Amino acid sequence: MLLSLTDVKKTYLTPGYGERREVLKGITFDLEERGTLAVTGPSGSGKSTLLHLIGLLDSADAGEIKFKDKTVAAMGEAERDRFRNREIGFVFQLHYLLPQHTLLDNVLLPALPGARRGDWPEIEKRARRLLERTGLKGFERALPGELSGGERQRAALARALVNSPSLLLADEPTGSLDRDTALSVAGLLRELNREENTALVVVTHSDELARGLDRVRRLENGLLKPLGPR
Amino acid sequence: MFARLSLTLRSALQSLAHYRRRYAAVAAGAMLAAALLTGSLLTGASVRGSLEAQAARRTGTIEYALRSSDGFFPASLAARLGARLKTAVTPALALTGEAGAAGRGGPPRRVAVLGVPDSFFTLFGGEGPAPTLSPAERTAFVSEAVSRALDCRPGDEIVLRVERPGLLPAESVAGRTDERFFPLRLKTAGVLPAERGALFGLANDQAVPLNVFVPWELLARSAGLRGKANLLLAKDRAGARLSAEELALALKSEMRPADYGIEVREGTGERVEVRDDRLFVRPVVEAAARDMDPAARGRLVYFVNRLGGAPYSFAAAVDPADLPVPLKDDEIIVSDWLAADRKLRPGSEVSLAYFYVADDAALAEKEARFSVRAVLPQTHPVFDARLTPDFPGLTDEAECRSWQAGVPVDFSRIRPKDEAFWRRFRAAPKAVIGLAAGRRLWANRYGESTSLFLRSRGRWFDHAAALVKRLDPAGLGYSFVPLRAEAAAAAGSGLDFTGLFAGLGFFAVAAGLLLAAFLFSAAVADRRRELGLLRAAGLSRGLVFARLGLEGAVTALAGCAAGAALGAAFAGLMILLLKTLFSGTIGEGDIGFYFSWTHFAAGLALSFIFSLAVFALALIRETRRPIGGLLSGAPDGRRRMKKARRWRRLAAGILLIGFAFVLTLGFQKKGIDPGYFFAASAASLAGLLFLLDGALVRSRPARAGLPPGNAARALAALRLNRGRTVTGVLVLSLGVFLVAAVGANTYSLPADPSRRDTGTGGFALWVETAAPVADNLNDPAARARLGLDDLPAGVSFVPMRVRAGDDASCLNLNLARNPEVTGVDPAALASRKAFAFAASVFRFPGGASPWRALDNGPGGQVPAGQAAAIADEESLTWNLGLAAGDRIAIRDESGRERSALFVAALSNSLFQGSVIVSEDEFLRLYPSSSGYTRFLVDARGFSAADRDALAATLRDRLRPFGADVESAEARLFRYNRVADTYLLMFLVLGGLGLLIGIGGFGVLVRRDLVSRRGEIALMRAVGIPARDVFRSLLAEQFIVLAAALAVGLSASLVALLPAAIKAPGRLPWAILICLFAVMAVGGFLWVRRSVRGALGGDLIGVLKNE
Repeated sequence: MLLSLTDVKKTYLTPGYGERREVLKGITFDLEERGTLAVTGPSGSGKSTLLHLIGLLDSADAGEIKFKDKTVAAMGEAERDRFRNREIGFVFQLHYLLPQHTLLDNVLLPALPGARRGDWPEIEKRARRLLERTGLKGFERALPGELSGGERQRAALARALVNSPSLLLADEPTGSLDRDTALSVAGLLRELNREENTALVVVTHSDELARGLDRVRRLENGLLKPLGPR
Repeated sequence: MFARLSLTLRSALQSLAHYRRRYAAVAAGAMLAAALLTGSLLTGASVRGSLEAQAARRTGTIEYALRSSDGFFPASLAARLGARLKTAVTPALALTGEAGAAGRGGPPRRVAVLGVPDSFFTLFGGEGPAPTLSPAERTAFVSEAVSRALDCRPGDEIVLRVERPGLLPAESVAGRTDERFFPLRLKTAGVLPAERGALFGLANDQAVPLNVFVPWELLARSAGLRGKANLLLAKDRAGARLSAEELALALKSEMRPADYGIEVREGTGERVEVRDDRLFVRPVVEAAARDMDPAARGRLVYFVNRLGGAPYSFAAAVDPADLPVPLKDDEIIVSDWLAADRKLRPGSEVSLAYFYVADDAALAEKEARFSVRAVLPQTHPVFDARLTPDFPGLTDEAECRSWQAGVPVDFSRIRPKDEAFWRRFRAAPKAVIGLAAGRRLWANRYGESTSLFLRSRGRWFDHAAALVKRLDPAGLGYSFVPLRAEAAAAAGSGLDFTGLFAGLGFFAVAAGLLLAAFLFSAAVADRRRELGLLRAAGLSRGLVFARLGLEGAVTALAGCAAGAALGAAFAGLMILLLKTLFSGTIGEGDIGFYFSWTHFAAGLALSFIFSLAVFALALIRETRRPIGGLLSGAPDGRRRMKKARRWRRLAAGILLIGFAFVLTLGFQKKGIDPGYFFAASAASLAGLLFLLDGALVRSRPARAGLPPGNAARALAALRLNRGRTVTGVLVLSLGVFLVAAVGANTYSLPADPSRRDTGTGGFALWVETAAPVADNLNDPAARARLGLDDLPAGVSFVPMRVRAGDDASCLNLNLARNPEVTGVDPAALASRKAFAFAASVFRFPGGASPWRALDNGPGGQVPAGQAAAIADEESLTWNLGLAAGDRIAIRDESGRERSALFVAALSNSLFQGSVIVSEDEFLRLYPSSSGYTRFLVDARGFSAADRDALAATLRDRLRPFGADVESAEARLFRYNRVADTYLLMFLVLGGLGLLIGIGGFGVLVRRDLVSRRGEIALMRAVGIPARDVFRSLLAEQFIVLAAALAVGLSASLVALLPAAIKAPGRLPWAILICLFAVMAVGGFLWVRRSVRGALGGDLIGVLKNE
């Protein structure tokens, strides 16, 4: 099992006023290696919070998250950083490409912390291959500002995969794209999931994107309810 | 590895290039801070370098100098010492006088008259052969200052009135003289350059001395001191350096009786006689002689006014062992000449009238009565004229009518038979009394014998050698001082312009750094999502920190390097200003720009480290945020604190303000100390900012209500951007505080200078004389003698004794290592309650004046063995680096150091520059000093015209003493002008801080408005009129501006409150109000312009992009 969540809860304090709001009330699900999962739900239902917990960006207040049989809560911050860098790739609604860097440098960014002496030529080769695979061959030296929205999101996808993660997390990856571009990016996401042997968790409002995945769950009132498998 | 490093560096460079405009603003802030810091350091280094160069020019190659504290010694001592020390030792004769250019009008100038051999000029540098003087042609060199003051050029004649040095204390009966000066007409051979020794002087200050260099032989001859000197200058020695111990040893070995002014000669009756050229055998010499022969016999010969009715005779007090018949204390032996003259026989009553110097220096006649025990022939050895010491003006005169006794002599009383006696018996005593009785009548602080007779145990010169062996040169005022080392140390530890500029520029530096930090912080905040992404991608905090830190470091380095270069230019400008606009602060110091790589590097390094530190703080804050928060790009949720933290902030603010107030009260009690000043101001500023920050913490808004108006929207925006609001207020208020606080300290002359509690002490005039006045100027008899008997009623004098030393006033930039010491009668000032005190260590019942603390008699409050001293607060703080309650070591006449406790500090008085002790204490420190050279003149109720007339009279009548008369108010003004020049300089620096503050605030406003253009566009899009948007934004910035002004001024007032309570009239409210108005109007215009700019441009386009 790649990922397993058991009765995970998360509460936030209302900014400024000190009121408590329970966003996740007990989330439980498993995800096998190379498995895919779509999480849908209304705005403010806690989808992104769930993704942040899975992605080790945040910690749960209660419950257990296990990643490759390792309890996430037991990890220190540095270990989480290393683990996240090695095992998880992120794609956000906004591409978050660094405007000052070329596409190639942006894609290489996650490789900086973990690369070992002698690995770099191989990593760079992989980055170029991913750019080619995402249809951005020839744009290696381009700046993000010179690309369209879809191209930027595809570059972000390449960046997420550069370290060959075992899990790809996508938070509304097509949310800011027009329908055609969104379909193209969604298709690419699924293809790369298969080609790179990566599990995929997508938070999305897009039925089209959700439909292409193994399982679809709806997050409502802090609980995850099954809508699939398809 | 290399590729990864290369990528990291490339990324940093790409980021720098991409965000170049933001980083340029950040670099500008760092540049500002670096410029001010480096500029301050280089200014300080330049002032210090200039002072050290000046000190080096003043001392040349002279390593040690000996100036005999009184008296003169044979110049041959120099050659003997030189031979022993294997270095050149040059003798010189240093006197004071007045100089005027022959044939020209203009007031004479007080000058130092230095009789020097040509070898003196070889002690200094300069190109070409050393200059020479010709005694035959009566040539002299003048320093440039003298040339300027007298407008004399090479070839011109100058006329000197040189103080006639007397061996006898001026205050003693025998030492009084009417011939205080002698004239010397000389031809100016040239203007001596500074590098040739023109600045030579022993005082450790940077005042340009008015020196006239005269051929030594000529000056010595003219002064009646042929072959004598009072100054020895030891040149540095190649190889082994001279040491104080070596010099002391050499001096001890080479000193001979004549060098001490002692004469040892064969006496009568197998006795060796010891005499002193000061007339009275000095107590230390008598002690040494008695150490050689405890049974040494003393003899005290005195000039008496009347002896049994006979006028002006000598009488002797003789050791009992030398008396031909035993005498009781009230018995006298008279000569047959006197017995015949006054018809005396054994058992007759004889009155003896003589002059005596009373405690107040008044010459008083006393009388004693004796019964004749025996009548002996005038030729009896007990009346031997050879045992009468030399009384200058008496014993060297051929007839009585030629006497120049100094004391009043009624020549009409001198009869032909008296002249006949003088011709035959010369200065033979006519009467003899017992030594104990004589000492009760005539002994004084200068001694109690005029001769000592030791039992002869060999040749007289063996006795001389044995006596000299027992004498300590330092105890008699002969000790070398390390002139060059002291000059360098005084210049090196003088007024710290580096600290002064850095301290006063501190706010400006802080403002620059704050600005840089805020801009950097804002730049980082704009890249929160980038940070979030990097963190999400698994980059550790450290790596993300390093990545952005590298960008910050490069920015800081670029800004600081440019700033350091700018700082050098700033220092150049400050030096120029110090030489021109602020010339009052450096007195006569010759200041130039000295570039120091060390200070440049220190400025660069410090500003770089400070910049890095503030950048690091900003980065740490951002990188510590949760990754989700970073990815959202929203401001830090943690900043929206709970209510509890709001109260904590408010409480901290109140506590800090209270602390500042207590601190302020504290430093007012001890006197103004810059450390307290900054601590109090920093605490009050911090406290007010905490209060503001606490007040801005968001409280729960009303759940329902009307749509917010302009002011409410403004307030909400300020609360939302609390960090920016507080930074804006901080940046502005720092400048406001400095300008207001410094402006409020500007001195003003007392509105009524006749008031006792002002800096003039209520005195009208300040008189200084070149020659000491031995008389009590309040004594009608003395006034009559000096032609002052027609002074208007109500005029009185407070005389002061002065021991020359380093100037400890604000006119001297060096540290005063051996400050001038003034002795004054504390009762004279205490009874008048004269002067205001800034601090007093002891309290006196009934509000008695702190002057009383100087009277440290038995049971006094100052610990035993210590002297009590008072000084002006300005001198204490800036020139001595001390405060009331501290101690200072005062070097006494014998070169020993004596501890003195500062019992009080005067507030802004004309006593600047001196350490004041009681007259009794002064005489204990300098027993051989004689006479008064400084006077405060009291003329209560006199009009300005009357005071001027009085000044003119005193100038005229005291001209024989070389008197300078100045109005007390004018003297105070001179000091205040210096202090005010400092304040003006600080105001300029404060103004610079304020400009940076206003500029920085403007940048913050612009940046804030630019970042909110979307919000502004939205407001316009939803239909809020442009006018309302403008007003809302304006209100927002005005609140910040008003808060900044309020915080800055409040902090100033906290610091100034005690002063305002103590002397509300002294605070220049007009200056404060003007400053406030300028700041308010300037800020208003700047904000208005910024807001108008933000509302311009294509707002709809902005909205589309959003």
